[in-house]
Amino acid sequence: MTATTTARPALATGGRRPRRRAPARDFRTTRWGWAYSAPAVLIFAAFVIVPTGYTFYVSLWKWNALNPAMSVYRGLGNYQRLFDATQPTFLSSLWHSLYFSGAMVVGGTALSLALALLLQRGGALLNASRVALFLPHATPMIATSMIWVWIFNPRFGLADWMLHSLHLPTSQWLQSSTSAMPAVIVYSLWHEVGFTTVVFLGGLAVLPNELSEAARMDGCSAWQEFWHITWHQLRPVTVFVVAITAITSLQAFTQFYQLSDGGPVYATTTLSYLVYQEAFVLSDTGYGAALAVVLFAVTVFFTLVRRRTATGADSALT
Amino acid sequence: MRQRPNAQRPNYLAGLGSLVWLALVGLPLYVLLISTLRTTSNYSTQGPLSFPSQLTLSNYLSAFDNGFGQDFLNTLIVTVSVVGIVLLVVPPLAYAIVRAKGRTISVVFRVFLLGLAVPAQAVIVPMFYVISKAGLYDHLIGVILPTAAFSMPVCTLVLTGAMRDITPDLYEAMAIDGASPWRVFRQLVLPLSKGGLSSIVVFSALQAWNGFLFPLILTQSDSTKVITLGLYNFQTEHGVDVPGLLSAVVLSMLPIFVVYLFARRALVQGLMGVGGK
Repeated sequence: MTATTTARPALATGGRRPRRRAPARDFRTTRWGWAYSAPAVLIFAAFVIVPTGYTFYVSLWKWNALNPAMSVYRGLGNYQRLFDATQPTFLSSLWHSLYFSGAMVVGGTALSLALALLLQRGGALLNASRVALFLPHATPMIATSMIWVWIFNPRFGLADWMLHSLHLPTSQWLQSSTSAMPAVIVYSLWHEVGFTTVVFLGGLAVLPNELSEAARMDGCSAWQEFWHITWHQLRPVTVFVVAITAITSLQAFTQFYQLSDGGPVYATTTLSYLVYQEAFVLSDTGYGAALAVVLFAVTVFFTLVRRRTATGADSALT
Repeated sequence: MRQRPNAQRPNYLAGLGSLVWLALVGLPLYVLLISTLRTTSNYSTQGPLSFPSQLTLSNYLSAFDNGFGQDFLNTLIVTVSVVGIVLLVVPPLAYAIVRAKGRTISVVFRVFLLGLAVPAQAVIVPMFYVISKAGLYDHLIGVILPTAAFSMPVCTLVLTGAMRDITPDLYEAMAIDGASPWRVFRQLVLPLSKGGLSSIVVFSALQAWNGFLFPLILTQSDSTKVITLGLYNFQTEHGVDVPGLLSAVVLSMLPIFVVYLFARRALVQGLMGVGGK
């Protein structure tokens, strides 16, 4: 990087600096790009790329966490073990991951798009809810999930107290293996929807108005206007929201750790939770690494699908 | 923000929808707050929604007795450092990605994007080795560096998006002027990507403040404990003291509330740009 003098020649008056007279094209081909990206690349390499590569390596061994020199090479043995029947099985955890992510993508996208469209219409009440909009996402997940553990408590929690007051059937929430995953999904939607709604609002704010106006002139209903015009124009933003929700849901960890501990009876043991369990709690590091590689592959797969479907539409993201 | 022509007409559906949303967001937070002001004795006798007959701050004092001051300070150090590192290294990287020519830099960009797909849990064991080998285990810097590194892919994605919006004419104008890459960066690119910069500040600050997994595996002593870890420990040690626990939860969210109230506009505006154009 070159040091600059503190004097700031105004752009318009063309303050001249004889040392730097190279035309634009020349400076774009010099090696300055390296200097500018080096610090970020170094940190990223040390703390993301190297550990990721190491995980690939570890996944080929029966790894001895206490003394790595005692590890035994297993080749693809850890990957073959994925299909063993030991509880909790890899396939069931993969299914739980897909169940959770699918619900988050569909529910989260629909809910936040609906909220963004409502909020965009203005009004005093709406402005108040705009204040509340992003708040859940800003709070620490470990903190708010503690509140929700209590909300979901079947004996004195808020959720069942309200359902009971309204004479609706109550639920065991986190304590039953069928309702535990839906409960975690409810909490996660509460935490995440504010963020995706804000992203949708950003997308709506820059949409050109002409097409919608023309549609209204032609007598389109509000629904037709949304379906044929707004939704279509929002496609790049939707693609972004779907992708980021899919990625964060596949990697979600804290809510499972805090709300349900992977239970009951492994009903909320997702792939990302199992990776942690095997590697750090059960100390089966090699097997945990193999699971981690699969999780990485699944996430990359979703990222690639997104890039396929997003061709050209959002140059800023691809 | 542009208002739609039909904004003047009251929209009852929208009103109802936002009321439901307000209740969904507000109710858990309201219950949380009044539970902390209740004395332990009448915690179970009154309904969860009623306002407590006696107010008390003793629950907060008990949270502070459990070392919350130190946790607070540690989290603040981690958050400020992570934001500082991200602000120092990501803008030059994004600038190089957008403006420098060549295959390598586009490969660099792709590698950073691939980093989005790396889950933190997947690297905890190697991370533990790397941090221990570097002698950073149980030091705050050992939490700061991985947290900063893991927030880089999103920040790079957002900031390159913002920088691509700067029109080429402006670069040409500065090039005719004979400006160096550094001067273009400082006088043109940085001022014109303020929205993107505030986005990455918000993003990395939230990641650092709310981070749980890295502190969990990379620190162990009380002197390096961060808030999220303190909350977790408090819960396992004092599981029965629900109002005390909830007070600790409120304290952990308080700074976020304050920042949120004062910088909501900047924060929301910053994130609105994330989705691209």
